[in-house]
Amino acid sequence: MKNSREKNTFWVLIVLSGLFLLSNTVRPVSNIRRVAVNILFPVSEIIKYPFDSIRVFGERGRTLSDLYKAHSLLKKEKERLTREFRDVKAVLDEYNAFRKIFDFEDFIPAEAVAARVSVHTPENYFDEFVINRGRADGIKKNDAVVKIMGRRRVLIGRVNETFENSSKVLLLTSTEFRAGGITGGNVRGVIAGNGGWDIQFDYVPPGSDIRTGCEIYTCGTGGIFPGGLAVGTAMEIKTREFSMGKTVSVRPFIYPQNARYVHVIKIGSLVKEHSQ
Amino acid sequence: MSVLIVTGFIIHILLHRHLGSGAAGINLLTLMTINIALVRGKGQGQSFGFFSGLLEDLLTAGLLGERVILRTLLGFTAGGMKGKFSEGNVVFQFFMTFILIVIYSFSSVLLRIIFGEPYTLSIGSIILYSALNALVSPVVYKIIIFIYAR
Repeated sequence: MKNSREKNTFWVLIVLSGLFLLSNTVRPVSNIRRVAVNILFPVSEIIKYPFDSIRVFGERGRTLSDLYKAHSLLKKEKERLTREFRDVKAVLDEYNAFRKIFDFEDFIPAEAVAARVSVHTPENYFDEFVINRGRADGIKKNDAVVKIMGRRRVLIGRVNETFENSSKVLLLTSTEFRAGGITGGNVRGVIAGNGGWDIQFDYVPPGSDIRTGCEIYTCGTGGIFPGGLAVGTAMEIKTREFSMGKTVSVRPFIYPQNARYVHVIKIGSLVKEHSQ
Repeated sequence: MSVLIVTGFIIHILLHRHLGSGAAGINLLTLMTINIALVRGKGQGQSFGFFSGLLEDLLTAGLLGERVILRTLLGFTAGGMKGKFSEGNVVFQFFMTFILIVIYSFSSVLLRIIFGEPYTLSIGSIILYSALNALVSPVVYKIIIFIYAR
């Protein structure tokens, strides 16, 4: 009895299912279904809404948790960077303090080598001293030796002899020292050491406009020194006999004997400066 | 039964939203049809299959009546197996579900071909889909037993 009822139900359901399937081929029925789906769609959306809300809430929770983790990581990173910054600042302060001590300036040429005066004997007090840089540091004979004073590169002398780790510097005040010079008023002459504190600016053309107090620089045409190295201030102007021009007594901006730390400008950099 | 259909449908939708309806999806309503038929026999199996299929067909796009007829047949066939295996035989449940869902999937493709609906036939996907559902089937069986025991 039960079996026959089940079989009858089965056939009824199969016929109904077949009708549903066939309804796909009939346009009005398809339209009715579309309408039914449109009506039932909001119902399914309502059913899904609380679950979607829970899902969205969960996602927000996850996002918040991720943000919290990211925040913690960033906080640690910030602390690390702050510590690092503090260390770097301390190093920078120390570096700036050293710069101040050594009178380093930003415009020091890239190829300049800082050096310390290691030997300065009384026998050669006006003639030469020894610095602690040599061939191993790329120093060559005739490299210019300067002292950085504020924004100025003041001429001290030139490298006369090089060794592996030291060099002899011929000083500006030596009687053997010669360099091409020029004044701010474009008057040319020869800078020469005098074996004493003051130096000379010789072979100044007669009738040229040179006065006491005017500043003298290297002219840069001698092939050894770059132009514009400050030398000193004109103190006394003498006119030589027999139309030999004028001789000017010059007080150096710095006496080479007072220099403890200097810079050696390599000849290679000099050539580069001139070619620029 | 209507409560079971609606609850099953809601869970089915949620599972599809979170697990996907492709090869990796679990067809909960089909599994429920098979297992209700195994537990309660042909009558309830085919009725559950018919009404759950109708609800799904009405609320989702596709061929109207496709799931209705296939699940009715599925409920009827699985119901015929009631009492022919011991209740704790998980291997039997697995293989029967696997075979029924393979037949269900191929029949679905066949119906779509007949009615000119778009279809994709990938034997690998069908096997994977059937195996996944067959794995879940014993769990659904236990839940159905639990519900009906109450």
